[in-house]
Amino acid sequence: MPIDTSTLGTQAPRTMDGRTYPPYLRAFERFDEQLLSQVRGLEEPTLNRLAVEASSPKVRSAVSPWIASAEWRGLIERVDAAEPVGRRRYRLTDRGAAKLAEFS
Amino acid sequence: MGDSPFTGPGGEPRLAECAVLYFDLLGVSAMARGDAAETELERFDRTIRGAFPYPIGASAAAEAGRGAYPATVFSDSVVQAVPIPAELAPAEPVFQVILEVAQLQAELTTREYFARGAIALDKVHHYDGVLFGPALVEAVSLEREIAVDPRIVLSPAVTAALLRAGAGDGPERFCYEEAPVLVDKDGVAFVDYLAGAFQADPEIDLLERLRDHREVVTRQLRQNLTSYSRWSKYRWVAEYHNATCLAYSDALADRGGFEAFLIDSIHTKRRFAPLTLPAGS
Repeated sequence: MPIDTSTLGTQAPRTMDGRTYPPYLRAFERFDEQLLSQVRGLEEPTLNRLAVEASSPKVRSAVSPWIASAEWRGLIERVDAAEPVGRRRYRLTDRGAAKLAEFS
Repeated sequence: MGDSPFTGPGGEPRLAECAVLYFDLLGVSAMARGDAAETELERFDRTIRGAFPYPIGASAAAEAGRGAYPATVFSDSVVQAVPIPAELAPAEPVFQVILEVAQLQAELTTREYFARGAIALDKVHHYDGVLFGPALVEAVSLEREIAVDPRIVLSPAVTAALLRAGAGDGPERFCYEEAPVLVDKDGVAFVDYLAGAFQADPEIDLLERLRDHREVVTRQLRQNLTSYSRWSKYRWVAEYHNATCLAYSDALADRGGFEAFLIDSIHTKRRFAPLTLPAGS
């Protein structure tokens, strides 16, 4: 169920079926700069690739929750929605690219 | 990841503090024995490799750069060790494992594989096909003696790590109050895999996933009617499914109400029959 696009950019993104952004994912937003940059640099990486290339164990352990957080906020998207988790690849959305530009 | 926490400077094996996930999949041993073992192997291999976010294979642990947190699969058993670096509170890697296993479990159930296991926090060695250490012993023991039903339980140390992190303060304090963990009637905390998948994956279709889950569990209840041991495990899943529907009643309110997604009690009630002589005797 896709995100309700009218809620993107707010503090409370929601899906069309009414689920809300889990509060515990906010803690992982602090990795935005580093991991958005990695998603762009690695060209459609998988979760494993992002974790392997993480700059520190701290970042590595944040990769999967960060992916969830970034998807909720519309910063990254799946290249092929039908792929299972193990083969799923991600890329920046326009919103993600704009967010990354804010850091430079 | 050229340096492994599981080896010393000279390549000697070492124990490392880890969050260890161990689970087995119900029914896989039986599938491996049946006439359709070849077909089942193909299905099992495709499912587990697709659902697991990291590479699988004993050698993967030794191959620098190939897998961040590789897993080992042995028959119906799966083990993954996530090292806990000295600079991290254990809760962070533990939380990562919980969120990942919730999605993994949810994905596996769609292929009719139900996991039973545990997450433990202690030292382990997981390198180049060798698995050894107290965390693994504890996780296996919890799976066999405590989990009982198709749930992945948290060891006391894992639960304590989460609670400690939730009670802390500062900018990196994690809010675990709504983390996908539930406590069962026996007081044991376990991974709330449906909620975890619904929370971590905004692309999931809540209604479709609940309908699919209901169908899979109902089918297993029907197929296992004559084996009380197996049937009772799926009965637990049915109760868990219904509790999840209730928890999401707001989201289901204008889709026919949560009652429309429940597993009917006709499938979960025990039945008794009078003692009668077999026909024709």
